[in-house]
Amino acid sequence: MGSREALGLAKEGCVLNRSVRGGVAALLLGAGLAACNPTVKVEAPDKPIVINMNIKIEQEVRVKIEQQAQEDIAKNPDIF
Amino acid sequence: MYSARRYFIRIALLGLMALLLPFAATTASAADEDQLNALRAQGIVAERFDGYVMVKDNSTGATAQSLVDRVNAERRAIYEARAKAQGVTAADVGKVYAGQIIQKAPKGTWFLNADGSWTRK
Repeated sequence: MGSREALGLAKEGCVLNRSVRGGVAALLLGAGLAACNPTVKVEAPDKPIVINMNIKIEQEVRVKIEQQAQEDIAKNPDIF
Repeated sequence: MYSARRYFIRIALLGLMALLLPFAATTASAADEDQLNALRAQGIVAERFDGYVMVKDNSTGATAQSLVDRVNAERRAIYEARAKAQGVTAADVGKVYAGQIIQKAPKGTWFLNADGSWTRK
C-alpha cells in the first residue's frame, strides 16, 4: 500500500514534472517569440532615433561655436 | 667696477622694455579697434554673412583695404582653428560668428546678407 501510494505520489510528481517541463518549454517558446517580436518592433523606430541624435549633436556644436564666438569677440575687439 | 655698471644698465634697459611692451601692444590693438569701429559706423567697412569684412565705400582708398585684409586674415585663422576643434568647416564657423559679430558691431554698420541684399544697423 505504502509503496503504491509512494508510486502514486511519484507518478503525480512525474505528472507535475511534466506540466512544469511543459510550462518551462511554453515559457521559453513564449520568451523566444516575445524576444523576437520586440527586436522587429525596436528596429523600426531605430532610424528616427539616430537622425534625432545627429540633429542634437549639430545643435550642440552650433551652441558651442556661438559661445566660442562670444569669447573670441570679447577677447579680440581689434578684429571683431 | 666698469662691468658692474654695464650690467646694471643692461638690467635697467630690460626692465624698461618689459614695462613698455604690454603698453605698446594694448595701444596698438585699441587703435585698431577704434579704426575698425569708426570705419564700420561710417559705412566704409561692411560686415558680411560669412563672418568676414569688406570695403563697401572706396572713398578712403588703401587705408580701409589694408585693415580689411588684416582683420580677415586674423579672423580666418580663428575660424580654421575652431572648425578643426569642432569637426566642421571654417565656412560654417564663419557664418555662426557673423551672427554674433553684427550684434557687437557699432550702429551704422552695413551687413551683407547671404542673398546679396544690404541691411544697415
